[in-house]
Amino acid sequence: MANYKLVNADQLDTDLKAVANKIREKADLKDVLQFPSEFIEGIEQCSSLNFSVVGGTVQPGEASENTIWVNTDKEIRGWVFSAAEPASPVEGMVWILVGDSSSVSFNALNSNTIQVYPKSVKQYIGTQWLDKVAKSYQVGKWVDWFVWAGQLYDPGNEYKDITGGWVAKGMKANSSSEASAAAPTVERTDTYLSASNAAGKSGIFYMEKTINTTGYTSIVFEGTFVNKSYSQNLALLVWSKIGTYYADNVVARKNLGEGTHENVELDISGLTAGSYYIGFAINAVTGNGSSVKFTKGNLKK
Amino acid sequence: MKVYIDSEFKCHTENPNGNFREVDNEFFDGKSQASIESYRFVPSGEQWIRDDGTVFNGGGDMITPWKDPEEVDEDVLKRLEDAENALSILLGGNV
Repeated sequence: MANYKLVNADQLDTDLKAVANKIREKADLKDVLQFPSEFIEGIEQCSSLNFSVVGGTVQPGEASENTIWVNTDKEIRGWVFSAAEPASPVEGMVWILVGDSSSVSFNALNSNTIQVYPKSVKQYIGTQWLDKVAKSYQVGKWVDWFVWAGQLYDPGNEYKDITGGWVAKGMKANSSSEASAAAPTVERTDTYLSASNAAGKSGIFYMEKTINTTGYTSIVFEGTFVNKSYSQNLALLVWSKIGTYYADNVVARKNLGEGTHENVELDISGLTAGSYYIGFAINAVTGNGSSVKFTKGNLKK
Repeated sequence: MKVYIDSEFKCHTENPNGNFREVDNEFFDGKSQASIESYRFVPSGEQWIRDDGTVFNGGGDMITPWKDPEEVDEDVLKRLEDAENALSILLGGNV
């Protein structure tokens, strides 16, 4: 969204129309976003917006869907959605930082779609942007804004908005691997997440979405990891993409040798900034099966 | 594939002075020299302490990048520039 200055509510219609025109100018969006004349008219009347921003120190009761409440005692004089700091703030302006994921994402328009991913809120007070707490009214209740800080798993919580959830897939290490491909058996409880494979079975247990590791230096999992096979057959892996075999496209790995391990940490401080798949290879070639069971997982700065 | 690790566990494709340790791991099969030499290999049972004091040890081998393989070595770049300048002088500016 264009980084524009909102002065007051009366300026809103003019500014939104300017934003719409800028969007229309972009060739790659012309064929994607349709802007019928009634959309522009809707903007002028503010009737096409599917949200509102309110302030105050007391959380409102019921509200309209996608009402954003900013906990503040300062009058809100305009708001802006932007990934970058607004260039020309005014006293009281609320800056809603947006990203590519959010616990309270919403469609900003009543017709057509502009999906917005709010992450956090700041308000310009004095000469500074100050952090504020915000909540969104969605599906009949007030929802806290979750700020992701590298969490991959906490008891009973797979952080699915970020990770896509943990999935099991049958996969051999390579074309000459002895074990047959078999998806690990997964157990989900309120206190831990585990995956295991019986002898002769090989698979991976990983987060379905890529994780942005930029700025983080380690991947840490707390739990119990049991390898009853060869030393490289149980490992914490980082992939650039999931391939045919689990040894494909690995950019970093921490093997968990034969035996039982408490906790695992993999250095990623030298990893090129970007997003990667993270998970475990569970390849039980010989002996009894191997398993991972963790109570916590996170990226560490 | 056999590679060599130095005292900081950084990987090398050659061991010119015989001071590096040899390791053999299929992780490096098919990788370019630049890619191999962007990795750190900490063998199972050994300990590496990162600059921030974090200790990585035990359990099993750890293989992880210590730099971007696309990153240009500044020393190499400087030497290349010096060589180009010298060649240019020798050839009367016809490089």
